[in-house]
Amino acid sequence: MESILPNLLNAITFGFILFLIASGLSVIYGFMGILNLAHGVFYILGAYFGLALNNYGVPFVLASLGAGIIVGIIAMIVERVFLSRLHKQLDEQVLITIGFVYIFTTLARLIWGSEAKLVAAPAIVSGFVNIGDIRYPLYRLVIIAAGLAIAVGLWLLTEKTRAGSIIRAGMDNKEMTMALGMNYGMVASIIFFMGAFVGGAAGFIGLPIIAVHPAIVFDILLLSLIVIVVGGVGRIEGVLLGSMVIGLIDSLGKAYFPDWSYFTIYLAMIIILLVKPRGLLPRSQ
Amino acid sequence: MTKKVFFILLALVLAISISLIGCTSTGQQEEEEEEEEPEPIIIGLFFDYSGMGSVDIPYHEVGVRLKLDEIGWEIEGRSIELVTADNAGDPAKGVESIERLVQVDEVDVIIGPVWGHVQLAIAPILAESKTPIICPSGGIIDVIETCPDNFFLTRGTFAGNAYYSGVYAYEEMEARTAVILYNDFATGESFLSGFVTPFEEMGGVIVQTIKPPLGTFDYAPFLTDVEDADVLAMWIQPPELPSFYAQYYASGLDIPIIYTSITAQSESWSEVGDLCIGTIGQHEYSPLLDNDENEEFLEKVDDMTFIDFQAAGYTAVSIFLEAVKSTNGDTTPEVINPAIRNVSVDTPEGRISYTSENVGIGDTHIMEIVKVGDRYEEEILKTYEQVVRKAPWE
Repeated sequence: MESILPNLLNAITFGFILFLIASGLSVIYGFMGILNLAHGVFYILGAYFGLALNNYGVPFVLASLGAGIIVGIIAMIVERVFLSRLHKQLDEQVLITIGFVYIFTTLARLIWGSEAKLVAAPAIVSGFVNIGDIRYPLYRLVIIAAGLAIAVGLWLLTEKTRAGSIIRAGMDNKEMTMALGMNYGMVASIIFFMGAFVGGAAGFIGLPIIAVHPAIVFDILLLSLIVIVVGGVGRIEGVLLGSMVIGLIDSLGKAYFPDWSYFTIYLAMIIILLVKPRGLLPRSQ
Repeated sequence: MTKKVFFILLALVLAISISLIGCTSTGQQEEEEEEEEPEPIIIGLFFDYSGMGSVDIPYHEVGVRLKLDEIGWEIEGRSIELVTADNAGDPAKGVESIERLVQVDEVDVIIGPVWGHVQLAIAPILAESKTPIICPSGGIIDVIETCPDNFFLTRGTFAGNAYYSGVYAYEEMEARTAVILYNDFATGESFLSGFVTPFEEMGGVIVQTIKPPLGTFDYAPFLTDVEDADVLAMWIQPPELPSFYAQYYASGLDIPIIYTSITAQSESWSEVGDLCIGTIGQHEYSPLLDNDENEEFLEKVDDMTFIDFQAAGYTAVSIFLEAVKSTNGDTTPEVINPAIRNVSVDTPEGRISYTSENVGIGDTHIMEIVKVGDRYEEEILKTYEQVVRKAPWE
């Protein structure tokens, strides 16, 4: 049992990685009603763009931001040209975003190859810290801090800003919001940009721990969907709670019940949905 | 001359003319038949031209073309043509493509595929057609049962590709305890069984078995309670190696790693970085192999990318061409299949032949990952010469 502390820290780290992956999808789906199955692609594109910037000498933090911005711009184009025409048309959204998964994955494979790629953590946050009797990788603690910062930022954006209130109003009644003179289209684009920005930046922030290759797109998507289904759609607090629950169950399950590791998170999801069918913290209706 | 006689003479002239034309054309046809070129030999390349393996696996074709360029695309008076078919690493797609190769393209030989599940799916079709198929990289023993006459596993089986890593760990590294870790699926289990069985038979003890699922992002939870041992024997998919190595050393572990079968190539190791240096494992080819054929092969290579697959493609087509030579160009299945079985040919990976059940016989090597310039290559530590490339229990 001496490994409880590192296992708990690993679980929390993984929970925050899940949060970074899933929060963008939740923002886009929860506030705009767009089920963006291409979110996994935003994640890997962010990792690749960040890596490319970093290889050109751009510092790690700026490469993360740059990756997020590039992915956000790509996402905005996708939203303006295609998805803005499919408001509340779930079937069409699913089909078109799945199409983008294949297009972008193939492009990524052609440009960057199918080999898994990893990046070293910046020197200042690599190495270990002593926590009690254990030495723990410092970068994993950085992930926790980054996840917390992004959670607070997204919560403030969606709950405490005028743009957030417009989007929440638009989610309930888009036509009424526009009739009140709100530029819903522009705000929707900004929110879509933000969701993709977080997904893209997360791809590079997670890269010192999770290697990227084109085949992980659907794994990323699946984890994101599980997190937002468990946490509840439409609230950042829900995504954070869902990420922590899934991260803890998955990591501790792997550490203490490794033979069950294939399905621990699915089992948890089934039980939670039986008790709370709309997730742990759903958006009030 | 009466009209009657005129028509009789005209009929005779016409009859004679027609018969003469007939004779002449028959003669021309015979001449044409005599001059007609023999049918070309059609080689079907059956790899992942789409899907996950599409970036590296098609490099087999580069090796095949290198060999065909070398001989001028002709053998025993027959020209050689290539056709390609995509299996996408998918059994259903593989069946569809193999039917086209066999029934539409009527190929004389098939080179590929790499994946065991695709091999299993296509074996029944080839058992019926008897078209020879030479698998250049990796194989699954069950296909031999389904398709015993014409399925050739040049590099043998997954368990065979790891067997000598277990022998080496016990005998040369003097390891007596091992932790094993592998992706929890059939191929991973085969690669580890190759290590575990000889290691335990010689007296070694497996102190812990860790089976992360395929597609594991974060290995850290599996590495917090690793028991002490002389070696860690592992096999995980090459795309997961960078995460594994980073998290292994980040967990403070320093048990020497045996990657039981080195299925990763320089391109994968370069993503792992220097952490991979010193990893030991088993494999059938390295560009650092010291033989004349490898030297000649490397001289012809323009680009070292996925050099192992290039060498495997070059070797596979060399085997087929050697068989064609021995049959004086006859590629009918009942003649060419026994000829392939009887081939013994020097290739970049050494001398290759087959057992009576079509499993490759050749050298296998214990290698250590080293850095040569900016590439990570496999340096030979020990060679097990001319072994049957399958595990003894298979």
